[in-house]
Amino acid sequence: MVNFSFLRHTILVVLINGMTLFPPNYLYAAFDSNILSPIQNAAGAFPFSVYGNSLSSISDPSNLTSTQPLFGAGAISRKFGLRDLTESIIFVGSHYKDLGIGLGLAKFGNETYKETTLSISATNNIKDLLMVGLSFQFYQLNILNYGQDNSFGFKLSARYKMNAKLEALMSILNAHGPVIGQSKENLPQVISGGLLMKPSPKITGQVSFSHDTDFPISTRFGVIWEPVNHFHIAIGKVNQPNIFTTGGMFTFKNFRIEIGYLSYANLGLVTYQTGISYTRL
Amino acid sequence: MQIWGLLLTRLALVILAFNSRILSQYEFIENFDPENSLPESDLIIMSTAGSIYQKLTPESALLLSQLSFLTNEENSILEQIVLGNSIEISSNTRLLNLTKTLWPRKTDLQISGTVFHRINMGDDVQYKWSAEFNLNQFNLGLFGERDSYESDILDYKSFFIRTNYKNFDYTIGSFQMLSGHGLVSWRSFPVKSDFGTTNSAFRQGRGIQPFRSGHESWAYKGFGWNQIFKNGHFSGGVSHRKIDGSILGNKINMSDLGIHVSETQIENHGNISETIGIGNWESDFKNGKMGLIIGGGAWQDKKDKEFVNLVSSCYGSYTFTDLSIFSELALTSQNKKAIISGAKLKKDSFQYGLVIRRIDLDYFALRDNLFRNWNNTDQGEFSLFQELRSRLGPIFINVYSDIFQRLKGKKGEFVKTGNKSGLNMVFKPHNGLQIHTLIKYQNKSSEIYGFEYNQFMSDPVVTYKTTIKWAQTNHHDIQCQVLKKTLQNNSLSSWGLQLRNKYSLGTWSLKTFWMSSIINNNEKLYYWDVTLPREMRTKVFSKTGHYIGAGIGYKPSSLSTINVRLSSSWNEWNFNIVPVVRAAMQVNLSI
Repeated sequence: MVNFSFLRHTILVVLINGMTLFPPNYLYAAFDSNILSPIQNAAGAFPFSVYGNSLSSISDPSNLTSTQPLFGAGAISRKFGLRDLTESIIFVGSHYKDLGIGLGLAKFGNETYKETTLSISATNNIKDLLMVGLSFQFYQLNILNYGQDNSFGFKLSARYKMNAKLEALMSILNAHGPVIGQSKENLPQVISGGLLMKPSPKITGQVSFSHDTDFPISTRFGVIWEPVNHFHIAIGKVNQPNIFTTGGMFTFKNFRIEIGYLSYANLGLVTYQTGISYTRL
Repeated sequence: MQIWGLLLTRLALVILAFNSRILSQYEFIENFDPENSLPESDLIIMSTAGSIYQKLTPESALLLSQLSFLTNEENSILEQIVLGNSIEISSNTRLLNLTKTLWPRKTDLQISGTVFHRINMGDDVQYKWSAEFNLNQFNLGLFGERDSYESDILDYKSFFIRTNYKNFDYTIGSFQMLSGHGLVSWRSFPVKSDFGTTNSAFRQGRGIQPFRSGHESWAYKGFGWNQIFKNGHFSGGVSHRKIDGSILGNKINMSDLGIHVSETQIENHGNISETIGIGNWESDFKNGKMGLIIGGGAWQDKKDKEFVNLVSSCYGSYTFTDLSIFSELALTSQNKKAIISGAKLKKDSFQYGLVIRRIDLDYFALRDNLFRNWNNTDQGEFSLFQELRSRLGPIFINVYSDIFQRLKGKKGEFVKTGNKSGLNMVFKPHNGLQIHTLIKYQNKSSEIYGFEYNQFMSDPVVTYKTTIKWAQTNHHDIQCQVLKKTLQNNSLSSWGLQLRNKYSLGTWSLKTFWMSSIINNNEKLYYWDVTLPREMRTKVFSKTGHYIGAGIGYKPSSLSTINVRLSSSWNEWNFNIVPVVRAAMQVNLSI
């Protein structure tokens, strides 16, 4: 009796590792995985951070404040349920003078192919209207028996409070066009933008886009709802690639546990992500 | 399913056409001809002025004085305001309209900066960012652009810092030099034959100005300054940068596209290394001005091909009672010359003006962009432009005529000639209603190459356009436009109809557009398209079809706006075709 699940996973692993280990001339798509927290993914892979969700600060530090108390957060996911595509993130944040600051580490891959991103973030508040976050990224790519290479990038994020219920967000990643590896593989240059709405204290909605300039634009929308205290439910939709997202968050005192579920309609695969954070806000 | 879709579309269009309340808007910038749109820098200046300032102040007047379309009279009024003199602008209708458009409501906000982010979705996505901040005595501007399919987020980026110190006005970064009448250095947009051209051609440059436009190769990049002396003032600039283009014999062929997608375009990106130095001295005397411009440039491409050009020019203007005259003559080290002269007689509401220009073949200075008919600089030209403007009671009449001729190159070469003329009438029967009719005639001879001999052709084109603008209430504007373009001696014409409507509903605004055109003889029709604030887009009908568009604006606070536009066009009369859908969003933020 053939185990089809095992066979399918084996084929995927062979294909993915084959592409990364034996590229025809150069690498494709290094550091293309988005570093998002489970609740961001659950709410339609929202590319910006959400208040009260410290884990999302790694993708967008503009929710850090100048009075930010010390916090720590971590998350782990296996893309398509594959161990070889494991992604883990850890983030700590605090404040220094008028700046909210953060330090994050993200790892992706297995022992053979590994991507590591270290980010150092700082956020400043201008006139209580505009939050500007700057994040320096240190990229390290490590391929077994082939060696490793490093590169630097940066991400500029801005969050503008249009009124008490609406925020406009924008970010650009790697606008200076960094490259990595002997073949000078372009690191992703990504433009993101969106609107974050809070029509009531229990509901948060988002409409956003994320555009890696080498790929078609990805539009996203999602909602986070808190039906009862401490429990949040999120649902969303990503267009390009076609993903249905859902998940939730449970808060207990300063602890938060998050779960994200992404269903790739065209691939027939799913990704689960879990995260935990200790936040004092 | 398709039948139902078509039925719904047709039903929507019929309702749109016959509902008297659903027509359109009119705005200040739309008084310009869609076939000759304004430079982007003008739109950015108006957007910045409208966002940062709340009324006409010395600071906002200084910014507005950089607009390209202002007349000498309008500029003089703004100069007086810059100097702090109290002056009434109600006598100048256009300036009054401009201030009403920019600042419809009085506010007392303290704003130190403004940013806009535009996302333009077509086949791919174009992004634009523009920001301007007033930081104490410094004025800082930033601009970024990524065109469709370009890999780099900031494929084009520019910045400027401007400040005043004593009698100096410094600009570091991207700047432009407007000197004389454009024979040496001017904007990225030239003056073109049209209604009101006499006033534009009369306007002299005002030295160094920050460069705000997205034209990727036009700006000087370096250091520029304006300095006031006892006997006059001096403007100078030093620039070093890379531009797109190629060196062709005795001139530079600069690329206007700014798109870097194909291999050739990427290879041509920053192909030429350019170094330019330019200085302009200007003295005022009683009733007139005189100036001298001297400049030089050195260009080197990636294949080490080099080119050097030196240029000098003198210009002046003089006013004697109702008569004003101006002239500029420029010479280059390539032995090329250009001259432009004009006269204007103005008495009460009557004005007559003429402008003569003669430009050598292949004339090239540094950033010359003088008043000319043909964009192709290979073809020198000799032209005479005349214009008459008058007001007869409630009717404003404007007539112009431009006769031009290509200069002979090689022996036996065909002499290309042409002429343009137009009649424009604006009638305001009562407040809120305006009827605008114009007729344009254009005739250019062209050459058709044959086996035995070349044949010369001439097909005059006549354009008729009537626009009715009606401000039905304070919250509802309507506009209807009928267009006809005829190739003379041909029974078939291109016909077009546009209906537009604008509602203002508190913090929301809605604009709707409908256009339908029948195109014959390949005579394209041009309309103003639905636009985001401070955007200028033309919809060109090259095929028979329909177009429907909508713009939605939302103002969440007094410091921010969100605007979206959506449009759909069918290049078939019967809608049996997949429509081309376009969308864009713009977020304007002030701090």
